[in-house]
Amino acid sequence: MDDEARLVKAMGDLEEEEVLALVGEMLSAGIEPLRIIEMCRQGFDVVGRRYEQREYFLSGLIISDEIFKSVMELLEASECFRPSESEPLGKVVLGAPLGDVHDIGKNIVATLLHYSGFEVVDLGVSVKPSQFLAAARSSGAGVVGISALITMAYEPLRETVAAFEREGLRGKVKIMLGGGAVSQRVCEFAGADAWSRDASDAVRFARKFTGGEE
Amino acid sequence: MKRTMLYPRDTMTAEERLRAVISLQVPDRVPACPFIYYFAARFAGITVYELWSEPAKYRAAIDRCFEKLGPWDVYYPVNPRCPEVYTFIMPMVARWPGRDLPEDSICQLLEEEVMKAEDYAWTIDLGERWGSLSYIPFFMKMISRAWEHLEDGWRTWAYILPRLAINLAGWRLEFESFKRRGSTVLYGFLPEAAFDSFSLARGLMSFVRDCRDRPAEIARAAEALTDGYYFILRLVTALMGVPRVEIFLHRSSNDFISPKTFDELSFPSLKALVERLVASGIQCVLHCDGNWDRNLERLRELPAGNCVAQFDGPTDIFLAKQVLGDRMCIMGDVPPDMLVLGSPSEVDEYCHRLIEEVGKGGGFIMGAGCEIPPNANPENVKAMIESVARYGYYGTDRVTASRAVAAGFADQLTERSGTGE
Repeated sequence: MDDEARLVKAMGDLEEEEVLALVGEMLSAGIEPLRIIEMCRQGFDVVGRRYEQREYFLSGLIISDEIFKSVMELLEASECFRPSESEPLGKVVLGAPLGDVHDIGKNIVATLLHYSGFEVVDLGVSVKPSQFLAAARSSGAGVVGISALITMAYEPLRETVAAFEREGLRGKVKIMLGGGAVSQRVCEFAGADAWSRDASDAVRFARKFTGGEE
Repeated sequence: MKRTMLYPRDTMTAEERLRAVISLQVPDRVPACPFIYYFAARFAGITVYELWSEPAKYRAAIDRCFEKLGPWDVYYPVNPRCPEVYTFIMPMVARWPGRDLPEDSICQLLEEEVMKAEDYAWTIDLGERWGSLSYIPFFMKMISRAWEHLEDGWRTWAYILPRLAINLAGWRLEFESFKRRGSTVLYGFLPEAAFDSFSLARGLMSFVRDCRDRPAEIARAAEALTDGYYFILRLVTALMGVPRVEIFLHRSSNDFISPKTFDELSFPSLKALVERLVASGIQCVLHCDGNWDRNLERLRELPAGNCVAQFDGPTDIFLAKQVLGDRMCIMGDVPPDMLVLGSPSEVDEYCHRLIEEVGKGGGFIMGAGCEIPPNANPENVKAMIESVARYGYYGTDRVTASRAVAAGFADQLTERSGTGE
């Protein structure tokens, strides 16, 4: 197994020490930092798949985010690091609906989307429909993700989707729902395009909505 | 003492029925235990702030629910009369209606770090030095950090303890009033388990790192508090006159941690506590939020016929019946979205299925998936509560009879909607 394959495997196995050691060796050997990031991203995909298959749990996603951040710190400290100029896969506006201040699920989705190549506009919690609209307009995002943990958020979810309808943006912007309080019934009530309680589905939906492979 | 029956066909009191299902015997019928608090405020037309700050209004709101939507068997009390007392159970920063949020908002808990990494060592030391009194100083420290106006030290103790005493006295009166109307009370006190308390108090992100970097400390700290939990639970349940406790497990599900982490870090202290409580005659209701499918086998190790596992929807409750049904009573799990957005006939159909499958042979309590949502449709709540009288009686002809009743109820609903009721 070569170093690149070992790096993907170590990242997928959440072996932080091995990941950082390999990154150090690869930098010394003159491997391009962007190539290293790509290998880590592939390892992150492994983590995502294992999470989907219930082999990993939320804790695994959080740890993989930690490892990725450590890798980025190492790379940014190296002289040959240049930020990527490649285009993101797409832009996604994220937030918790008006009245809901819970942000764990949203933050994890933001991390997954980021490492999967999306640009994320994170509006935080208790976001008004008008703020979702404004952010989608100004960023040109094609996807809006709303994470709800309480049933009191159902009405604000519907109002947010309705606001996009009213402003004629519904044809251009797909809206996905996540969080412990959502379901097929809630998705239909709100008039959204997709829903899931599983954070990794957000990446699948975003890829689909931006014209990529799921 | 007079034996009050809630329904004409009942042959057991609510307390007898609850004891029967927990001990896995077949009762006269399935008991209902709706977890009502925020909902009561909306239903009675008051704010959450009023609900939790004015005891008379709380009582009137719960009474209104009982009269209009009940009766039900088991009172599930959540009534913190003082915000800081809430933190005596869930060590988190809270945004409180009427203080930090509009008066009709629900309380929201924030993932902020009120416990520091070095507090595991402090907790282990606390357990050694304070023994059976360790619960109180641990939570006092967390309270002082969760509320800006409180400082660590005796001032927090002086602030909290009288309020806690008033709260407990109020609960005791509430419990008596419920018992007088023929219902019973689910528990005398409701702590968060030690492992889960650490997770809430550290914040999820920090706690996940702790599970990776300092697992032995977490396990030892949880174990160190066991004497403290045991003491306070015995004391308060005796004061409340209810020999049962509810143990919240908000962070032990497979949504957050792996079955391995559950086995190694969460379950050992939980098991030790439950075994000691059961040995002293106190039964345990485990509030299992999230998906517990892969933890179910482990729960079989808890003392048989003395525990209730309450599920809130993500756990497959029908699987739980298969895995755990011969070991513990199961409670749940009408989904919150169904109670808010569904119809009475959908609720009725789901409750019927719960009674037929999870209630088979006893060992089942009808409840919602966690609490009744504040914005639930009252007709749906009523359908859930009434389902136990409609389908829940045990007897040889039960299945045939309940199917006939279900057909009749469907016709009744069709008529209601046809006449615009």
